[in-house]
Amino acid sequence: MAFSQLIINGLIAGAIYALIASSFSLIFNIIKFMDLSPGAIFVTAAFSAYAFNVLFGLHFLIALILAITVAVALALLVNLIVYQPLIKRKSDSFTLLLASFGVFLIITGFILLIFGAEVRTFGLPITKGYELLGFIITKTQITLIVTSIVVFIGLQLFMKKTKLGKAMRAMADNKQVASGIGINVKKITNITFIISAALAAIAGILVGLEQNIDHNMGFLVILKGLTASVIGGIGNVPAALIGGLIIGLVENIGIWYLPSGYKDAIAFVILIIFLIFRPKGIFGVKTREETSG
Amino acid sequence: MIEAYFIHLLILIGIYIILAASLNLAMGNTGLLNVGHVAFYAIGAYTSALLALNLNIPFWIGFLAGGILAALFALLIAIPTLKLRGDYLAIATLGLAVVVESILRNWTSLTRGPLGLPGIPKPALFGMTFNNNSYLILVIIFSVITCLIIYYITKSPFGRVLKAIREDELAAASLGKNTTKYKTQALVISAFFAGIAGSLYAHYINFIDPTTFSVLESILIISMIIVGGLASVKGAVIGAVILTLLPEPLRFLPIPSFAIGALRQILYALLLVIILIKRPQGIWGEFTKQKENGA
Amino acid sequence: MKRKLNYPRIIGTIIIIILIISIVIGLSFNSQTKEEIVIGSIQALTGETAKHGNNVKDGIDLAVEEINKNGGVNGKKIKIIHEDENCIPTKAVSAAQKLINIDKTKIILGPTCSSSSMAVAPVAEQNKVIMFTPISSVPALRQAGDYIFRNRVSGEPHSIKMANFAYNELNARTASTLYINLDNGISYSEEFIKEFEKLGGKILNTEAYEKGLQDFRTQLLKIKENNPDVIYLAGQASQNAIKQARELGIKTQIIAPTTLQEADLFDIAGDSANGIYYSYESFDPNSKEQVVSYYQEKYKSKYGRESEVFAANAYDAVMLISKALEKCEENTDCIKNHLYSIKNYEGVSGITTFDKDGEVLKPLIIKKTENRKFVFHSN
Repeated sequence: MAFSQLIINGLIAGAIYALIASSFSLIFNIIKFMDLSPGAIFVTAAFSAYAFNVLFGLHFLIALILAITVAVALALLVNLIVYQPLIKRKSDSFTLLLASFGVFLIITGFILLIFGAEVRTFGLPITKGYELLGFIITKTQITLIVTSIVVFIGLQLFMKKTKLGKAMRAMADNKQVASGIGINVKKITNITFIISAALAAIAGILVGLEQNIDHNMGFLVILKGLTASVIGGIGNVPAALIGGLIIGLVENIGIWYLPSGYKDAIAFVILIIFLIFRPKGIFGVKTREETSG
Repeated sequence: MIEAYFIHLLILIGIYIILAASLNLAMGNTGLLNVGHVAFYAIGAYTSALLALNLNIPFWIGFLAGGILAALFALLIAIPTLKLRGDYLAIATLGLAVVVESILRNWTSLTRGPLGLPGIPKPALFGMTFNNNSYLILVIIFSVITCLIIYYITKSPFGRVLKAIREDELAAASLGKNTTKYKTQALVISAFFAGIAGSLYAHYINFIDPTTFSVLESILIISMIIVGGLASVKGAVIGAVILTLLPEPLRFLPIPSFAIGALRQILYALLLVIILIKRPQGIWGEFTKQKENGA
Repeated sequence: MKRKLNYPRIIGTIIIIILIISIVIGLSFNSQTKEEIVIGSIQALTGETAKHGNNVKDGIDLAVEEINKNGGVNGKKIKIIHEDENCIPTKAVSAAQKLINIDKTKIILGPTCSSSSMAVAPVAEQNKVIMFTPISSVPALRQAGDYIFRNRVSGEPHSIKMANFAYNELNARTASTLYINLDNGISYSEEFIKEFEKLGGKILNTEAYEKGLQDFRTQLLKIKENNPDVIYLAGQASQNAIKQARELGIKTQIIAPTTLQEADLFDIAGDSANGIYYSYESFDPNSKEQVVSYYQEKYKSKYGRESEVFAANAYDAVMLISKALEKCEENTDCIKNHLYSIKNYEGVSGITTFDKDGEVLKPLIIKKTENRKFVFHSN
């Protein structure tokens, strides 16, 4: 009983990490820098959905679509006015990381300004979850887990089967070569940001439904997402989702045996162990840039 | 009285100069992308504070102990992590910073966890306790010595090997240099000075707790050397001055009460992003010179 | 080549000069008039604790507005200068140095976070400035100095009250605690354990959660496996723990200290938050309730939501300070002695008394959540 519930707890937490990890992983693998701004996109989407749904009274599905649109537009704007000028000047990845942290502070600052520091909710009724096979789970939690699986399969197919996905993989492999064989680097960059923002938005809205919304919910989540995408595998975007689920599981099983105060540390200990013994992650692939440099 | 405010800011600047210059040795000169610098800072602070509080050991021994323990910790983590490169090292050291903070928070029998360590004594010499004015002199002496040592190291043959490793590690290795040994030494030296900065901080603020040593503090130190310029002591100094002073003018802006926190955060971040976009290689970076020379 | 090398030097110098000039300009605009009393406030307005910091700020602003509307203190208006500390001690100390040395404030309300308060306390003490924190609860603040006060009852009396209530009224013999891994959560939990065991009860397990995390399921599962008679939920930001406990089918009686009463409790946890007993600093509702309801009304009309306990603490702190200012002007030794002499002040956050350490004492009552409301249960 307890153990199956423990697994489910891990999967619920893991699904959240997985979705944000997939968002982070796209930019990390294709644009090649650690982008913290999905953490802020995540918050923006949650607040937008809240505003459209609860404040303006729109149907939830319409609010969902509008919120994702807002998130995508914001990500494109950030790319245009902050990241592109930096990439053009060939800044190192650390400058980009810092710029993304600045972007994170600016966006969450605006959220704080507009919505205040109060916690917001979608006001779903709270009931005991369904009892299945000795564990308890709610509808939102099932949606979370199912969404992360669907995104995993979808990304897998997209990257392997579609032309765009293949172009992205080529760019992840080597930007110069990709551009040499006629891939439109600028277009692929924008599409990467669009997909990444949409994924972060879905994650933000689902977390808003499952827990609640506040202006500060993005930072811890993006750190976990970053960890998950490394554990999942460098150079393999969908594997980030698996990394997320693993972290969720190990964290929850870990504090079953350890004092619960160490919960945060557990994910990062696993990360360090992985980096030392299997730096490419579970499903990592060697990309040309790494083998040459 | 106004000068008391500036003395406080100068003391902070001095401590951040030590942190930024020491991080620059590992990150700018050697190319080790270390996000875990704050862990060494924390170890120095806690070591010195615990020695002073539990064993009455004076600051003059405590700061050395703090530096040495931070250096030993660097030695310990160097062995597994330094084979990682670039962003992977950054992520691993980020993990280390989180783990160290978590240990400080949960090892309550030693660190008192979130309750923190209050009442850390100010240093004393010949029976005279340092007040803020004399503490500033102490911090200036420490930061000048740190900058001089690091400057000397970067100009020495050892420093040239570090630079070679940064530029092309394989080439450096093929010239018969044991690159891992050199990188380890750079990290250990960098950690030693961060530990001393931690000790200076603890004995100045007189109270430490894990919140001071979060990942955000690491990001602040990295911002300093990126804004100031990688691989340059002057860059580290300028970066530390700019980023310590940056929030201060914002205090004087007339902002309505409901928006104070959020607007200041937005303006601070906006300034940071603008500096980064306008000067992506940093103000005084060695990389700038090279790129410009090469072009 | 040489010109290129000078380029960064110029930029760096310019930026630093601009920063210094803007500080100096800020300084010159900052001159205070004789008709004003400047009070500093250092709160966590951004970051993880922003919710509480902003509530405290709102409570302060409401009180100041009211005092100034009624003619100020001895004819002088109060001017509040808010500084952000972001729950980072270094930032709090910088803010305090600025308030004390530039704005020449004799009184600092805050900081919000305990760690920040511990770092600011030595600075305030050294400058003989009153530091009156509305909500920091760390036990060590008691010994931090003569000029240091707080308006939040420490964890000990709350936990003693709830341990006795659990053992005697609820007939609980076993308990588990779930606490926030911060100074206040630790002290709530430890004091509860001490008292409950003294009474003869048994603590089955104690679990912690980190600030900012919203996932309590595995901690709750560990508690569920132990099946205690009561769960002591110690510390703020626990609304989701209540929700998740009900989702997991845990029917155990939950009890809590004062931190339970947050305005958003029923938004987040809905009906699952009904039926919880908790200790609270308050009036006897049968006598002076209108003072509290009058305050609630004003707060609601200004901010559009109900006040929680932290804003009330802040409101009272300003009122207490203004009374002291009326008598003492800005003589901090006099203010300090005045605050020490306060006995049974009827504030909106409870009947307030200070002991010789500047520690606040307020009689506690037991309240209960019922039909999505916080109601009186017993004394």
